[in-house]
Amino acid sequence: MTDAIHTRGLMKRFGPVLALDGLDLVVPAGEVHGFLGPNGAGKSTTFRVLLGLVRADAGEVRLLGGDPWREAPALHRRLAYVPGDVTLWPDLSGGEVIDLLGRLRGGFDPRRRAELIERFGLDPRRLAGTYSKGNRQKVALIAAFVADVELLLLDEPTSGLDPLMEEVFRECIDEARRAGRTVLLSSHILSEVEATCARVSIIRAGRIVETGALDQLRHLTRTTVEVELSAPLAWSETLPGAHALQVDGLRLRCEVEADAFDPLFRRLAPLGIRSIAVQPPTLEQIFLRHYRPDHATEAQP
Amino acid sequence: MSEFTGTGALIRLALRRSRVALTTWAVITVAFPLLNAAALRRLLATDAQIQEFVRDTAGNVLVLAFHGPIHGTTGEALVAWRSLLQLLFAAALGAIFLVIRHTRADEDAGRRELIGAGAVGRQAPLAAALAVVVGVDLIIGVGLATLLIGLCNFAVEGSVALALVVAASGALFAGVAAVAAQIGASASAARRLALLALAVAWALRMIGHAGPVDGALARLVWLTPIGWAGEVRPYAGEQWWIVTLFAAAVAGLMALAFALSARRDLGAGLLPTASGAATAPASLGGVIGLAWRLQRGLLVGVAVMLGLLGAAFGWVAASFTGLLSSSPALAAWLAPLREASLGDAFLALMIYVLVAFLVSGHAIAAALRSRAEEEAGHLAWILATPASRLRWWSSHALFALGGPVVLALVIGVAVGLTDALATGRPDRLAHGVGAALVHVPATWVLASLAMLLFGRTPRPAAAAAWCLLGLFAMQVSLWEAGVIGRPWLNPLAYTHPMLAPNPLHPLALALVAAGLLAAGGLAFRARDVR
Repeated sequence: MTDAIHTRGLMKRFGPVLALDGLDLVVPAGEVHGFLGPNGAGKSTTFRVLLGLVRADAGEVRLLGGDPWREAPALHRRLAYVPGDVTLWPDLSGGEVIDLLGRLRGGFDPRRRAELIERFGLDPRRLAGTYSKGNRQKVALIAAFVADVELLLLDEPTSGLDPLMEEVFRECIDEARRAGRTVLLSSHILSEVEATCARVSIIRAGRIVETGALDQLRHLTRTTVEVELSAPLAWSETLPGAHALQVDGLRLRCEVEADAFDPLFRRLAPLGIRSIAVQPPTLEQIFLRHYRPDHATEAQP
Repeated sequence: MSEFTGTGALIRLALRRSRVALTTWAVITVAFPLLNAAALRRLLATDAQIQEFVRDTAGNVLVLAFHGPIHGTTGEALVAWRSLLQLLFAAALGAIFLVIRHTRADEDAGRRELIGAGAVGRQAPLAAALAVVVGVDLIIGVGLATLLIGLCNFAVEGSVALALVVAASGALFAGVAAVAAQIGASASAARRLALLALAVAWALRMIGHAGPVDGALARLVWLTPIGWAGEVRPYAGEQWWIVTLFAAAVAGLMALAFALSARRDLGAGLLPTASGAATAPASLGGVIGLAWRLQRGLLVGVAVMLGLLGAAFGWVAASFTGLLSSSPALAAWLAPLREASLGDAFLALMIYVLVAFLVSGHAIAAALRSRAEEEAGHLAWILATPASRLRWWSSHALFALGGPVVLALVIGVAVGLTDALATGRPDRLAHGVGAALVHVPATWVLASLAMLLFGRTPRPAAAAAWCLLGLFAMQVSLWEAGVIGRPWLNPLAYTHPMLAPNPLHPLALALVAAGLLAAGGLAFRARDVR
């Protein structure tokens, strides 16, 4: 299977700001890929490079097998984009914006348009100047989902949507996945990425610091373990593989590396384990692992 | 007074945000009478020349309609008379744009909400905007009076009267804009309303002064603040009581604005917003359709305005039947038109002014629409579709270059048709159209310069393009006044009626425009898009 998106060593500087610092992002075709990072990490710049709006200073970028800077119009026939900050023409109605973008992309199925407008609950007659942020976002999403394309580039697409609409959005992503479309979804709403994406890439200061399947990433992050023992732990005892150990009488709580369960439980079993609770890492923890200021020293016990 | 809490902080914010615009506004406004004083001192050096000029002008309906009657026959009274309209327009336009920028435009952009959530009273933003604009108005007034008295040695009473009129007119149109900001449903609607009010005020005065002094129409002058301003008569027996009319109008307009602002919801206007179409019409099918949709309002509005102005000029010119050669000063100035009638010479000048200045302004505004689209984030969205950069860029260049052709045709037909009807010479129609079209390549150069600036250096493009037009216009007016020689690096200085017609000039200007345009397109293709 080919890659829908493939970048290697992308660099982009805006004046004094280094927006991309050797970005390697790979999204295989047909995958729903989460693109995580806080504000200012370079997510939107990445989208701009992928769309050929901005030319990278160095590095390679392939999008749907082509060069996004040189072949923009041809490649754009095969993708749809939802910008991070959706602004609409104030004198155009929502319906007109959807039609305009659809026609620019070479036409669309009017039934699909009607269905999406219905599902997202948009009033297409209102002038865009009177839409709330959520409604503007709906216009952009409908315009993207109505397109019959191979790739969806979605830059924080659900900001401003209410929970009901977020549900509709997830359904639409599911449909796109089933239809074999590739999706690059940037977000900092981690639950949304957890619910929709098979794999994620985490960007920090213009470079990808972590990429992989969610399960695989979980594996790299410590699991929280809470144990209630029958007999107390000796005072000065250190436990193999346990980090951030807290002991409160017979209860203890610690974080454990994925490959360190065995020595830990061997050591605890003789004391008698009354109860045990294991909490796999959330995406939030994976994410924060890369963004905590003490990231550099965190690997040490 | 909790309604006004935070006004002080908002005043500082407005001063910080608009410091360049406020300073430019003040400097340009104050510059007008000083430039006029310099020009008139050269043109009308002796008392005899002044008396002759006043006599000539008294019979010239066109000049009377524009500038109103001359009340005094001293040099300073002529400077005040000649500068008044420029001063009023500068004061009013600055006040309108700045008040709406700091009220309605902030609301549209959502900044008003951010501010409203702070410890800020609901009337504070409006109060701050008015305080800043009226404050700068007063500074303009003080600066004007000081410079006229100190630099030009003009009489104190007249200088103070002129400065008061200018400051009061600025404050009055700040009030008009404040009311418009409450009525309109968006910043652009509010701006259109306020500009309409200014246009009506100006038109009423023009009609009032076009007829006989004691005719029924002459009373119209008293219905409009621009008419009042003319009646204050600086340096010619100042009518101080008229200033109270301004004070009453300013107070009334501001009270109305605050009352309306207290009654309406944030973001809402008093005029209802029409609802749009659920689906796009067939014309909105691509980048050219979109550009047309974005540009048509401006184009149609300007076409109507210029058409009406052109028709008025064409109609009025027929009454100037004398030959230009009968007025040696004018004949020497407009040498190529020496054999023409006064009316024909005036039309040649007016067509030049309308096309070279106003249509050029439209051409720049149309070209800069591209920059507005980029700044608003629309461009990135459009370019994410299969629309190519050059195609999108060309769609706006099309209107920046095509608009002037349409407008020049409108002006030419309006002037030529009314002129032909009034004089009974059918050939004047074709003549008017030709005279208007000859200036179009010069407007193309300005449009192409704006497109090149947008393509190469988008950030300062708008400011730079407008400054260029201002510079070119100022050069031409100094050249007309004989203060400087012919400015060679100025596209507006090649088809001027002062020069003998040369078909190579428009052709060369068109080639220059084509070169600039090509450079702009190439630069735009190679740059990053916001």
